[in-house]
Amino acid sequence: MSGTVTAPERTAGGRERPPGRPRVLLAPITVTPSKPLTPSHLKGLLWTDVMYRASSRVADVTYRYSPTAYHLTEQTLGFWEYLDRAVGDADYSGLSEEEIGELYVGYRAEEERPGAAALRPYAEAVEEDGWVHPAGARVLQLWAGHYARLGMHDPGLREHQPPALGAEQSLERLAELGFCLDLRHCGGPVYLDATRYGLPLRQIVDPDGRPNYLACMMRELLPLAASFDEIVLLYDRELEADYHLVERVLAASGAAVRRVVLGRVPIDGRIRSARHGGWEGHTVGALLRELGEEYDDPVLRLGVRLYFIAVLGAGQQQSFRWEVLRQSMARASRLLTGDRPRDPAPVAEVLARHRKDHLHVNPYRLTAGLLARHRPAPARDLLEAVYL
Amino acid sequence: MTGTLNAVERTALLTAALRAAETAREDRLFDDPYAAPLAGDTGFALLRELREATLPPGEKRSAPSTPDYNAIRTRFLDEYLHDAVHRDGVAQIVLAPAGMDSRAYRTDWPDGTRYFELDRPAVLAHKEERLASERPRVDRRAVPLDLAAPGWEEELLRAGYDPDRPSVWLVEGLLYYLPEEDAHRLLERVAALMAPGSRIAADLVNAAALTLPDVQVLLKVFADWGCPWVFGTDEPEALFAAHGLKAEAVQPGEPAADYGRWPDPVPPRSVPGVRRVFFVHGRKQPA
Repeated sequence: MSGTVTAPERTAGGRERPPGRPRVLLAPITVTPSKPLTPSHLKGLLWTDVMYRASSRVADVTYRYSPTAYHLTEQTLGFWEYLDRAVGDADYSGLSEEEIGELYVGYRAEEERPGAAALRPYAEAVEEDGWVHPAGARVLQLWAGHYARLGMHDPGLREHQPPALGAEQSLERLAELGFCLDLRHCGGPVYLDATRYGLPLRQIVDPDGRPNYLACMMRELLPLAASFDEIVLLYDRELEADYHLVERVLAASGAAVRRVVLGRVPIDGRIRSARHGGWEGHTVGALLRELGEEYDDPVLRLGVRLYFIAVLGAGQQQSFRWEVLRQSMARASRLLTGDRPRDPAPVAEVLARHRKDHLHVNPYRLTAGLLARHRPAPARDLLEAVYL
Repeated sequence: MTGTLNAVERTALLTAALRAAETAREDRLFDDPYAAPLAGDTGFALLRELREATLPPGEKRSAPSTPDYNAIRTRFLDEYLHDAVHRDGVAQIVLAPAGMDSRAYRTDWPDGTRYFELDRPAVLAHKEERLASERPRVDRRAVPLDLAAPGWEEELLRAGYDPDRPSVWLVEGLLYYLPEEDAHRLLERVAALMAPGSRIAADLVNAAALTLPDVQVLLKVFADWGCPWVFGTDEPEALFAAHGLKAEAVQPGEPAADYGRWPDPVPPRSVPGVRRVFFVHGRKQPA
């Protein structure tokens, strides 16, 4: 977990970098654009956003979040095929994300899954033309609006960001690293194989050739790994076993890998998957409708970050509670307008306190530190750089 | 059953009552739905006594706020364990002592995690009686033993603890009740069971917290219950370092352990003659 590779003089994107600044890749789990964003999603997005903005002040940070790379999963292509088959030629441009999410729940409830042949034209359109189904494009458009309102950096939700490696290339690269068990020659699947580390085999391509999200991730992250001093993976606790595998693979490419595990946000004490619905009244859209009129942008932006990062923490013990979210809004207002003396330390120095033995800034430590009542209030520069 | 608990063990019921009270707060720092049944009438009676002594009606609080301290400690250690298990991949958790801790029941843990609860038989029996209808969410292994007696290490090994694998230990709410030499002895024995890189966290007070006038009202409550605070140190890092544990100390009210809750200013460590409490956390160093 602590290896460091020799730094090239340019970032993965070809930008020149100032000498001495470490290079950090933030690679959070992506959300499939087939349903509304929920509090669990928002928590992950805000953690990543604060980490990105804070770390960017002290390191050269790339925030890699490519919906394009994951459109090829069965989860997404199957939904698009279902829409065209079951809904037909609809106009999605006026639908809400909740309405599209209801269609997704209908797809997930189907007993039969479309076969590989039915999905192939969709996969080809994504690969060859960068095509996005209008329903997916509509959801991403709505999310971009949420990002803007909440002051979150948009990592390219609506941009075409194909992975650098093709499917076969990524499997070859995995084989070179010793992590690929390919049984396609006898009609079987492809496994990610880290059994030498005591980890179980994990199928990433099914016998019909369909990749899952891990195969898509390998295409995206394998070619990037060697260009960074540190890779930070942020993901849901339910995916922990998969991410132990990912950590092993990326570390073999020479990067120091950090895993940040986030619990979901229970609603009324229950953790639900958005694929089954049940989000009514608790989507990010609903949250913005509820609070957006009441609070101005700075209070809203700081308040949601205090709540979803500092109050809820990384675990998943506490259910979403409107009254506590409102308390965070009140705290945000006091932090922005109060007359407590402000921390005179330079922003970079404040941020460096929250790096410890890694290169990225820990968003929880940074944000939880804002709550201490008998400390100087955060400098306006820090709030502007990271929270507003 | 509570009649068989000794004085220190009865404070575990007080801690459970404090956690139950925290769970009822709108701005709670954690949820512990098991705290109220674990506390029982005895725990809530102890909490009433504590409140009456330290928060007399119409008077300003002078002693440290036990409810806030307890809430912050629980949240801090919740997060400490989360980090050890999810970031470091530690699969052995040891509570020494366990008291009325309910993390095995109220928190999800990865498959394969072993959760050892060490405490005297009467304490574990009380907990199992109160939580008889509940199922832990982890491979919980209650190990009845006496941490002051010789040979408890063998009991832990028999219960499936592997000293060659990484572990994380919590020594919560204990060290200030032990004479200094006993605190050293316990840390020495614990450290001997930890593989290099294993983690440990504990809470401590400093020496001034045993003598300053504004703490007396709190100290008297515990002394009257038969469990006086007898040990504190201003150098918690050195206490742990003496046993091969490289540690740092955080005080409630510092940014890493405040959560918007600690009510009092925290003077810098260089200021002498100030009452302090510490959350000490560290790692076992290679031999």
